[in-house]
Amino acid sequence: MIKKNNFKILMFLIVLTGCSGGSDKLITDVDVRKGFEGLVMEFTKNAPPDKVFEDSVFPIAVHLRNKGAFDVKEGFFVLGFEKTYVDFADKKKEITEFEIKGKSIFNLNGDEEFITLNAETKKVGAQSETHPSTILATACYPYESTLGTSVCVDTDIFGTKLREKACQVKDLQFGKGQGGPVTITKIETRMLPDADPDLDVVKPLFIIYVENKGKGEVITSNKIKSACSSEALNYKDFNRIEIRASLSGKELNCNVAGQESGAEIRLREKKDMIRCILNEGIGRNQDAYTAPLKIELNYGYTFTISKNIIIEKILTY
Amino acid sequence: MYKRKVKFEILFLVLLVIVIAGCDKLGGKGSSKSSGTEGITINFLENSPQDRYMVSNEDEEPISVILELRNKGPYPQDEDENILSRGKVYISGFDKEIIRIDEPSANLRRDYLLGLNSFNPEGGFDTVEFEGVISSDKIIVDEYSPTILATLCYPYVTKASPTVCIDPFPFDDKQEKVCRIGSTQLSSQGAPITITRIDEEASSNKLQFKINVKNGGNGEVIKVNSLVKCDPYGDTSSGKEDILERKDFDRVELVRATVGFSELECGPLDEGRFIRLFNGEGFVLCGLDRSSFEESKSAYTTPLNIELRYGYRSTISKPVRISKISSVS
Repeated sequence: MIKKNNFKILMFLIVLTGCSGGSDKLITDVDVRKGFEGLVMEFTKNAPPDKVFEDSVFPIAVHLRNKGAFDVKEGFFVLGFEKTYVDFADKKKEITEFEIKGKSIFNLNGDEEFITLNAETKKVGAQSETHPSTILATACYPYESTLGTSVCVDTDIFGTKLREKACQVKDLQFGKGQGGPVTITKIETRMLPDADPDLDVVKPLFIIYVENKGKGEVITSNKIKSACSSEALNYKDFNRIEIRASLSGKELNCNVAGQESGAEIRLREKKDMIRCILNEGIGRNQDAYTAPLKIELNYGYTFTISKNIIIEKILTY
Repeated sequence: MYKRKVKFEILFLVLLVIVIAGCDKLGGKGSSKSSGTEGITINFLENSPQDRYMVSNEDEEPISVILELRNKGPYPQDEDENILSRGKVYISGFDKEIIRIDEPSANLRRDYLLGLNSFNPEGGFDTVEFEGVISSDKIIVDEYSPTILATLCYPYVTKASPTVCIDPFPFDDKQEKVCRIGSTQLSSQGAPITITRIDEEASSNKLQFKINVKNGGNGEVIKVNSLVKCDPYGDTSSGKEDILERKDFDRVELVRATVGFSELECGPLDEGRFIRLFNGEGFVLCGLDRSSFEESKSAYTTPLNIELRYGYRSTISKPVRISKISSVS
C-alpha cells in the first residue's frame, strides 16, 4: 500500500515538474549593462607563492576579467615591488599593454586574460632569516559607462492640457549600475519654458547624478598610461569624467555653465551631478511622449591589488 | 424510506438550479436595447501592436496598430442625424522620429458604427488601422519602451422618454388619480451620458422637472463643437486656440425637452444650451406652464422626451518594448 502511494507521489511530482515548462527568455532580454564592475584582477594561486627563497626567480600571474560592458583597448598593467628585495627578471616587461572585450549579448561573461611575468628575489640581509615583502599589481584602463533609457517628455508644464498622458515626468533611479565602475544613479527630469515666449517651446533638462561605485580611482582619459608609470600626476588628473548625452538622437548641451573644459564631471567624494539640456527645445503643441535618452560617460580607471610574500634565506648548516 | 427522501431532495435541488439558470435566458429576451453606459468603445486588436519588437541596425521594422471600435449604444438610428463622422481616432505617446506613422489620425466611418437595435443587437463595428515603421537607426538605446496611446473623440446623443405625471390639480388629494407627481428613477440609456432621475414638482401655475444627468462612462465629456481640438499633437497651423481648454469640458448640450408637443423652458444653461457637469454630474430645471395642460380635468401620464448631445473622449494605452539587436558581424 505504501509502495503504491509512493509511486503516485512520484508520478505527481514528475507531472508537476513537466508543467513548469522551459525557459523562454529571449536573447535581448539579457541586460549586460548591469553591475558596478569594470575590470577585475586577482593573483592566481601560488603566483606569486606565499614563500620565496632569496636569489631565485618566481612567477607572478594575474587573472584579468572584464566584467563590465565596455571593450578595453590600450589598457596597461604594471607591477610594483620593494626594489631592494624583489625586481623583474626581464626589465623590458615593466609595463604590459592589454585589451579585453567586455560583456555583450554574444559574450555574457566578458573576456578574460592572464598576464604572467617572472620576478626575482634579491639577498635577504645578513641579520635576517626571512623578509616580508608586498607585490602590487596596478591596472590602468579606459572605460565607458553607457545608460540607455526611456524618459517622458511632457510639454504641458502646468498641466493645462486636460487629457490622459502616455507618460508622466518623474525622477528615475538606477540602482543596478550600468556595467562599469562609474555609474549613473539618478536622473531628474525638468521641463523648462523657453525664455522667449514667441518660440513656444519647452526645453527638457536632465539632472544626472554620477557616482564612482568601484574600488579604484577615476583618472582623466588622456593620462591613463601616465597613471601606470612613474610619471607624476596632478590632482586635476583625477576624478574627471567626460559626458555625452542625447535625447532622441539630438545632442544635449551638458556644459550649461559654458566652462572651458567642456562637458565634464568632477567627482567630489566619489559623487557629482551635471545638468544637460536640449537647447533647441520641443514644440508645446506636442503631446506627452516617451523618448530614448542615451548618456555616455568616458573616463580612465585605475586600481591596485596586493599580495604579501615572505622571502626566505637559504640556510646551509 | 429515508434514502428515497434524500434522493427526492437532490432531484428537487437539481431541477431548481436548472429552472433558475433557464430564467436568465428567458429574461434576457426582454433586455433593453438601450442599457449600459459605454457608447463607442475602443480596444487594441490582439497583437496589434505587438508587446515586443526586435529591430536590427540594418532594417526598418513594420508596425501596425489596429483599433477595434464597437458602438454599444443606441445612437444613431435611421431617423437620427448621423454626425459620427465628426469623430476621430488618434494615436500618440511615442517618438515620431522612431515610430513613423504616415497619418496618426483617422475619421470615424459613420455607416459602420450604427447604433444597436433589435435588428442589430450587437451594434456597429469597425476597425481602424495605422501602418508605420520603426526606424531602428533612430533608436540610440538598447531598449525603447514607449506607451502607445489611442484617443477616440466622438459625438454622441442620449435620448430618454420617461413617463411623467401631468396633474392639473396636484394638491387635490381627494380625487382618485392614475398617477402622482414625484420622482422617477431611470436606468441607463446605452450612452456614456445618462439621465439618472427626473424629479417632478408642482406649483399652482407650473410643473417643474429636474433632469439629473451623469457621466457614467470612463471618458471625458467635451462640447461637440470642440471635437476638432481633440488632436493630441495640436494643430500647428493655428496655434494655441486649437488645444482643448477647461471651458470645453463637462458641457452637455440640451437639444430637446418636450412633454407631448409642448416645449419645456429650461435653465440654468451655459451659453443658453449647455448643462454643466460638476464631478461628472449635473442637472437642469425645466418648467411646463399650467396653460399647456389646464384643459385636462384629471391627471394623466405622458412621456417627457429629452435629447442630449455631446462630444466624448476615451483613451486607451498599450506599452510596447522595442529591443535593438546587434548583428554578430
